[in-house]
Amino acid sequence: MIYVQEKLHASVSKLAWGPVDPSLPGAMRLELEAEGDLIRRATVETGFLHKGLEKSAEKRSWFSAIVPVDRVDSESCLAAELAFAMAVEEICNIQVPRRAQAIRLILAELDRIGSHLGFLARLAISAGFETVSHYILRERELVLDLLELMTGRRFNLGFFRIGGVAADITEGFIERIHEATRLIEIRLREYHALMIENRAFVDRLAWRGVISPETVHLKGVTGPNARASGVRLDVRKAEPYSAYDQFDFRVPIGTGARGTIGDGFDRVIVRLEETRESLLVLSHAVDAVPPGDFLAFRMMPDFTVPAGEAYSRVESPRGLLACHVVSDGGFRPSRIQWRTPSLANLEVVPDLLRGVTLQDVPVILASLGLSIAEVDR
Amino acid sequence: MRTQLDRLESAFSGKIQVRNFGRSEGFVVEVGPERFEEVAAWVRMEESFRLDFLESLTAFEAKGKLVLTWFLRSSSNDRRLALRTSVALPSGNSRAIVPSTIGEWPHAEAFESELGPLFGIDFSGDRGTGGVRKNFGDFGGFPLRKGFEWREDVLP
Repeated sequence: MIYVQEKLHASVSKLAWGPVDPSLPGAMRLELEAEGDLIRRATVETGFLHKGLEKSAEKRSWFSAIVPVDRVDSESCLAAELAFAMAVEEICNIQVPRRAQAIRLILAELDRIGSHLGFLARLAISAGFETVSHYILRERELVLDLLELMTGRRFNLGFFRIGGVAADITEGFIERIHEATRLIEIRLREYHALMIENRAFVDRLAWRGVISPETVHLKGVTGPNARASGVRLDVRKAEPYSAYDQFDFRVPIGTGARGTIGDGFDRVIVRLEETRESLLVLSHAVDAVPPGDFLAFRMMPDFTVPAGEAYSRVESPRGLLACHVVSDGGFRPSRIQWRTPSLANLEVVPDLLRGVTLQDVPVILASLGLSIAEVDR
Repeated sequence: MRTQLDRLESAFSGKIQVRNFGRSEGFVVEVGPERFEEVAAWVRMEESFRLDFLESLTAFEAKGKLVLTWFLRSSSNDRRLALRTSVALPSGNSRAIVPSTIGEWPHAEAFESELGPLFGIDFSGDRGTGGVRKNFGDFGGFPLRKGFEWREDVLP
């Protein structure tokens, strides 16, 4: 494609965007140097949402550390809960019951579907497709209702425990899952027609915000953003955890369908395809929950973890989420540190925004699916 | 992996220690800060390792030391390794000095820009592009150190 550009005789202007702006993915400041409409340089500043979660966890017992763990990414909190639980279970050599593993998988995939639907809704708003966003949020409400049925909450679920989950499957939960998966599968086809087949939407994303495979490795990009650039890395396949080794599912990667591999459009397609795969896994998983306990043991408030450390990895909806847990043998964690996917995904923003027009900035940022909350913690 | 680790041990005989990482099947290689850059470059470039992907850089305080761990993997094979170094914990508001690995793994910039102000670590060497800055404000100390004094305006 050839772009004809009119040379603007404009001086460089400096724009400060944020930290509070609805077109940004969260509390972050963008400092742009723009020549006319074209961005020459971009700098990102974060830290406005720093909540001291890692330090806060050190002040709590192992029993109550789930509270700050939950808030790493409030929208898709189960990945952080799972990573934390897996790390502590490794230190303590706890065998999680198979039923608990299956429940964890079901809730994690529900979480993934909800997160991807939230991504699509925010992207639709940033691209000016507000009507579509209402439809998508309507389906997201189904997912949140299911999470509420099972856990009692919609966000900050606090449901995973060291050794299993907090409660067994609620009555009616499995039937509601089947209803919801069938309905969301139908709606996904409607979104495809409304967005993917819509020339105006495609033009906002195709050839925009291209992340190359080399950048993926250099900047540590993971998750759907990396897979959209052709890097087939999914922790659920590479190092299966919970019950993921029992289910077969595709790992979609970007193909440059309407532009080039790794552009914003590929990031949308990958997430749509991943949602379909999650629905498939979910519909099989709920029919294959083994009998047994949902929790290996009931943890008391004075629970201690033997001295040691562990490093666990999970595939959160935004990418590879890792948790390094260190215990000194006491009843409080000595250290919990997170490797969140958005921390790496944010690193590509200054390079992505160089050479783009101002109008493309919100769409490119939305196509990355960032969570500033998990960047700052 | 054991063969590769034997090669690493023979290349840096007496300068490194290889241990199992916790209960996992993974390994951690412990190096002093004076040889760390050399070992980091070796595991990045050596054919049998090619650890070109930095997954995470973590830090914790233990027994009067600051312990930093680089969790590495390869994008071309299934190798994974943890590389670790530790420095003595400085007293008061003094900062520790640790070699930067931005030259080997540019992604280290994201972690170094966080751990620096929170633990009081100066990563010497390459400063990176500075495209993403952290603005944590002034804690009046290093909050992730165990000895950090909580004040009324800095609540847990």
